[in-house]
Amino acid sequence: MNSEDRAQDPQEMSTLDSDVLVIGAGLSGLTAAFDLVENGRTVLLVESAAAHGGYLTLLDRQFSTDSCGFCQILPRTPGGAEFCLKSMMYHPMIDFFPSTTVEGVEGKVGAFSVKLKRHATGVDAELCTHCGRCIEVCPEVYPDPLQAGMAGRKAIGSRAPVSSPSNIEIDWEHCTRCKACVDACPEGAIRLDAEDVAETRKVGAIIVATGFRLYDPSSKLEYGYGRFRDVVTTLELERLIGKSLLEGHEAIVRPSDGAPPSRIAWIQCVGSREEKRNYCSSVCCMISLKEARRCRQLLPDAHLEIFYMDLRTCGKGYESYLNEAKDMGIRFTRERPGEVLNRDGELLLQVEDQDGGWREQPFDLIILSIGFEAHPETLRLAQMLGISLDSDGFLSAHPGFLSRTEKEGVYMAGAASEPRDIPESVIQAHEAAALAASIAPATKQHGEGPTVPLTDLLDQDLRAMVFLCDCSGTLTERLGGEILRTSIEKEPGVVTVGLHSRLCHKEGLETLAKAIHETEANALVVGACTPRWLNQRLRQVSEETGLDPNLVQVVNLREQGAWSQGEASAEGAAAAEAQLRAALARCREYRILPRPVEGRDREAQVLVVGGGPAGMSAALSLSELGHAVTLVERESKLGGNLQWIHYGLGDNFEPEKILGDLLHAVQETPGVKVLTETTVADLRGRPGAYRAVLKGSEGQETDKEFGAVVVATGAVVNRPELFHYGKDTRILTQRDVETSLSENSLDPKSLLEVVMIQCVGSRDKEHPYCSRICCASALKNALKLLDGNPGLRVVIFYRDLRAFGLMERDYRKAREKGAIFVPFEPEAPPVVEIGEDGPTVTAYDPIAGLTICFHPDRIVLSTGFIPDAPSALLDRLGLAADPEGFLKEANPKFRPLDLCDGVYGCGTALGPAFLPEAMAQGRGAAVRASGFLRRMQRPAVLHTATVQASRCSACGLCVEVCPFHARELDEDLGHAVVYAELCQACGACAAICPNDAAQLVGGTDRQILSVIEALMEA
Amino acid sequence: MEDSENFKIVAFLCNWCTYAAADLAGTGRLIYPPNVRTVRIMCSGSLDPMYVVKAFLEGADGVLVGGCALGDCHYTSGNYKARRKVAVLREVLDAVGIEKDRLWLRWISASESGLFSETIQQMTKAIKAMGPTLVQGRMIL
Amino acid sequence: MSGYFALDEDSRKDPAGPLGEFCRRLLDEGILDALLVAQHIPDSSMVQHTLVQSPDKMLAVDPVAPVLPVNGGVLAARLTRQDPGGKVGAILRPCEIRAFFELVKLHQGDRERIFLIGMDCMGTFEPPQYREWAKANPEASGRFLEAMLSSGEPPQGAPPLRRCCRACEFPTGEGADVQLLFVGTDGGPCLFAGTEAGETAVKAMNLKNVEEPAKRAKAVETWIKGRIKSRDELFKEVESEILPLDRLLGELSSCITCYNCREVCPACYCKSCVFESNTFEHPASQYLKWAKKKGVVKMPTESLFFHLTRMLHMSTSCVGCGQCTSACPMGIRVSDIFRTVARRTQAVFDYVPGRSLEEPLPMTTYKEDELSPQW
Repeated sequence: MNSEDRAQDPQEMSTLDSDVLVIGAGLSGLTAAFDLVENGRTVLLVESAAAHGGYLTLLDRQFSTDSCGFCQILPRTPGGAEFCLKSMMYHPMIDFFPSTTVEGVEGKVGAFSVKLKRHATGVDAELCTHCGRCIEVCPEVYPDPLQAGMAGRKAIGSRAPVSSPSNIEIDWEHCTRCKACVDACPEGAIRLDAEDVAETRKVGAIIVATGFRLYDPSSKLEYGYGRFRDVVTTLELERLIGKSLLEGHEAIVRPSDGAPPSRIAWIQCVGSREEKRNYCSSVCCMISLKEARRCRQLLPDAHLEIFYMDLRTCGKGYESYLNEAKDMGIRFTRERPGEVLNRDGELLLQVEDQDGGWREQPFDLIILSIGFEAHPETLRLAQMLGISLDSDGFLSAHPGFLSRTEKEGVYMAGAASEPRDIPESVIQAHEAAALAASIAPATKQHGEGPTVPLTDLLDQDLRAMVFLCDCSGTLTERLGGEILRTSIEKEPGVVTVGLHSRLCHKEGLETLAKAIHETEANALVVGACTPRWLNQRLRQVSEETGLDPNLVQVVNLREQGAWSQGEASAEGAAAAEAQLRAALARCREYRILPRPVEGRDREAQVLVVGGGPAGMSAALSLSELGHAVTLVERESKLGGNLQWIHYGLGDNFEPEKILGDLLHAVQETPGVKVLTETTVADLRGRPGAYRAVLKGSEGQETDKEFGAVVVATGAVVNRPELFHYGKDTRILTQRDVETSLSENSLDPKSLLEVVMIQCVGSRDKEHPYCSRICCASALKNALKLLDGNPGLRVVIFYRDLRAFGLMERDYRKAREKGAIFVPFEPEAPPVVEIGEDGPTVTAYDPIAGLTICFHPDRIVLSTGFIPDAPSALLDRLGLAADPEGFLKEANPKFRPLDLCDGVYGCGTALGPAFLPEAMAQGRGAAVRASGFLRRMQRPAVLHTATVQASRCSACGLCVEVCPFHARELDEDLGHAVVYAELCQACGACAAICPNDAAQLVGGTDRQILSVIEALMEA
Repeated sequence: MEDSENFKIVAFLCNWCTYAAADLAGTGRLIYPPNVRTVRIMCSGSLDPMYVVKAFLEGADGVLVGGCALGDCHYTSGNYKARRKVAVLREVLDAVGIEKDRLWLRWISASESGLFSETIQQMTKAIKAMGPTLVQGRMIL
Repeated sequence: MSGYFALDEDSRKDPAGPLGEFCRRLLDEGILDALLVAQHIPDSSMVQHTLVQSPDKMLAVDPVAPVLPVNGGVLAARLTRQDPGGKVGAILRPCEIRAFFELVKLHQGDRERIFLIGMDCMGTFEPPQYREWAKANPEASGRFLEAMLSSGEPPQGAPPLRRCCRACEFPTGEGADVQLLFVGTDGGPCLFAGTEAGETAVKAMNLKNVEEPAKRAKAVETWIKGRIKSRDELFKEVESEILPLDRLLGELSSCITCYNCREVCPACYCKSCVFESNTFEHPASQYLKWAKKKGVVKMPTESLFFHLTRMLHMSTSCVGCGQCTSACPMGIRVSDIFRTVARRTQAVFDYVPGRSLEEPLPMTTYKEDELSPQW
């Protein structure tokens, strides 16, 4: 995009309320928002539901890591956001508006005016203390749809089962206006007459991340959903397990009778791949796999069977996840079951038997693997924004992009554009953030608040103010607030103890600040609710009053005190007192430690290795984000694998134009320095300070420093010597066909029959991964051939036709045009032989039940990619390739482009990818690198780890265990050093250092030991 | 520990997961015995084994270390490192007569509030059954 | 090429005698610039490590003297931490080499910067006992070696071997460039070149390549078997007699927190101990607090805390050299206690300290699939 095209009136920009509006606070919206704030952009984040997190708050573990990992998307700045993202959401640079919808958009890129409607939740969030009394008294109980209907839910309550402290809202549909909650609320926070509030905000760019809706299988009468209690959806199964975790015992039970099932079936593609929903929902195969594996863990002897059409496990590492599942004894049956029957309380699934008839197979629990649907919000917004939707309600992307819409300044992320899984959504969100950030120049530097001077308790005595929040009676009721107050008052160093009814209210915080001023306290211990939530409110107080943040301590007397006790008890009160004394001890023993070094004048140049589409996209985006780039390419020409792509699925996809545009833009961008025929001979250093040796074609070497590195070294197209490839000119690869067709050296009309074989050199022992793009290559070549010769017979032998997402449409189209698809099992692949009169293909057709033989004019092999990761470079950076040989991400789900802080990957070097994906990864890698470099330039937080040089023996243990390359042994100085801006304050170094040379500021051993002592005082 | 109800467990809880689970347990009003004293640490990997020794020497009857599920550490590998530390601690403590079963290591993710309260209940029961440690009441620290 | 080499002919008569000549040649022929070797200290019967640069200052070399005043692993680390500016060698006992390897892993020394000469170690006496005995017995080392090789016991009238030595199952110079072999070598000591550097060196000295001593393997096996037996008896004894907490408290109650044990411990590499840092600097009121809590508290305080913490910090690296016991003024069996605990902590990770530089220190690494998922 050209910068002149934008409405760049500086005056107009300066009047923006937020740089970027992100609509939808699910995974994609949050990811984009965090990328933007890390890049110095302010964000207005609106969410139609009452809480953030979308579907992820309902899932305990994700495939294929079998863990949660949601917090990995949080900004990587300690002090910014240190909480479980499932349970809460806060960021100083994000205006987060839950229960809010967008009602109108005017203006254009750089200056959008957005009308918002903030829906009445019935609960004033400013006043609500989450005490839950309203929920207790509410008489309206109904089955919680999110808990598979097994748990009750009230007309007032929180939406997300694991959010804590939770956003409480009224479900107006079930509320009878009985006012019980109004009477019970001690804060007067409940307003049954609350009205929606309209607001207008000005933003520079918009990201639509409205997500998806799950298909409601009630209309699939044959499966009995809604009629039989033991027929549930995949999400409901998640919540069945999730609910058991909330109850303290991980288990799977049947909804009907609470008994553990011993036979479970999954039915795939429910609401997907149909006439009406002519797309694949992409993620359901993996969801079912994950669930089946989890069920296997919990029910080692159960019969677990997945009924599928194609197993579309084509993401990174998914194939091995599938193979492991097979080894765990999970059965996979390729068929679509007919009907679910209930006979005498037993569920029977109609399945086809071997000789074509139906038989009834009993199951205890049947899971419908339901697909995605476009979210109705997307439709509404598309109309408002003037962007078009496809027939299924998904937003369409500009060719060569995943997130760019047809309207300038409007981007999309996540499943609003197509069903996507987590890493795909995250990558798209990264790209959207990169594009949106390019529109709105950074206005603010996050984290540069007023710097508070540290308090040296060797110079002055501790003057601690203790402030107890009664939380409207909770404290007094359960822990004896007044008694607590009197006993704490006697502690040494305490100047005063305040007891306030509700600290978190504006007025409470003001009282607190005032009291700190009056008493000249230099430390604050607050006994209230959870610090994870209260700390954000206290930060303001600390800044206003000049309190050293290391001397502000929150004691959780509510969630982990009053609320976890049945009745008031002496033990409970003693525990509360001990926790308060411990916090005081922590303050008392606080000492200032030497600040670690900060290298703020860091190199902001970025090295991009590899000049294919991903590398070029990364370079261009980095330049847009304000970084000088050196782009090195070992070949003499830029373009990589894109040079061999001539057409795609869909008419508006013009690879040659995309390549031309990229080459032109790279050439025209002064900030991008291109070095062809150049390799990286050496690369050393740490995040933010790398030194590379670049070697030119003549062997000349140049030394150069970089702040970050983007690895876009691509992958190699596989040319395995299978199926007699290379021995007969009639045996080709998909790429050969593409080249011949585009050069017109192959005339489809000259052919009668073409046989394609899928998974050649993929999904085998040597290359145990799926190459992702080969099914699409086969489809696009089949369609191209059929276009040229509608009478041509095209036979495609496949294992699973992985036309995921919207490609399902092309799959259907190919079938409609006459292409014949024949599945084969890996044990019995088609056999190619070269006879006297040309090659033949013999195979078994499981549908027809007989062996078939072809004498095709051409045999086309779908060969995938093989990895070509620069292992020597990775090695020097302390990085590794994944088991399959591609780049290994920091977290395969939530940080799919980060290799580590400072090094990012994109394109096929990460794993097989389509062109728009590779390019989006390039832009995403750019926004990640840029965010990292900005972080390097911000002042580091106060509570990083540090080194007491005089104590350090330079043993290097801390360096070994630091996960962030934030420590080094400085040979000249003779001790370890910390790079404060890289430190995440995890404390691994302090824990391993035997003599406290490594310490965590604000959490030293001296402090913790005295905390333990205080906790154990009688 | 003259009073059998007056025993104490010190719990070192990781900020990201187990501490959040404890919060959620409170929000869900899951009740557990008040014998636990908690120390919020940023990561189970930041547990200095010295802390556990200190807790026992100060009279704790049990120590719980709670972290994110394996593979789920916010800081990538802190919980694996914690597991090694606890493995050594168990041997050292056990060798000198502080039974290894007094030191619990549990992975409780933020959504597993039930597991948290269940763990505390089980642990209180087990620790109570074990009685006081030998080190308590001794004059040597 | 067997890797075994004969020592010079004339030096084969006295089992301890040839070593002096060998050491002298190392310097004389420029193979090394300096050698760390145990020598008799003038005017004393005591033997100490010396760093010899001049071949003619090798007058009283006696590496087999049964005494270990200082664990030379620490000295080797000190000599190699930075570039020593010359080719340095050291004759070390197995426990010294193993300690050195641990220190190398802790970046306190550099294996590449030193030529290590190891040896079959017959064990050592408590230093004061050695001094007295050696004073009264000229040529003590030769007699000791002879007696040990023939009977497995020190000569009549000599003090007993330190308990840690009797329980040491690593008596050979594994990991060294060259090893001095006494056990199973018929007719005097011979050399074994364990590394390429070792082989280059002995070849440069024109030492004759010989066959592997036929009885060596069997003899070493028997020898180690005996040590293991003694070790297991020690473990058993310590576990039942000392470790139960009430007994341990008794044993440790004599501790005066002089920190000698830590001072001499080769694995305690810290510049200064955490127990002497401000982490443990208490205000006066703290002591009264403790006294109040328990009614009485032993002073100085925190001796148990110190010992337990030291176990946590170094037990995986404990090579069992016994220096701590020798250094304890109160006669606490520190080494016996630590070895018994260390056996357990080392077993958790199947870690043998000093075995190989390739094995990372247990606390710096982890495997996803190890141990129990939780406890």
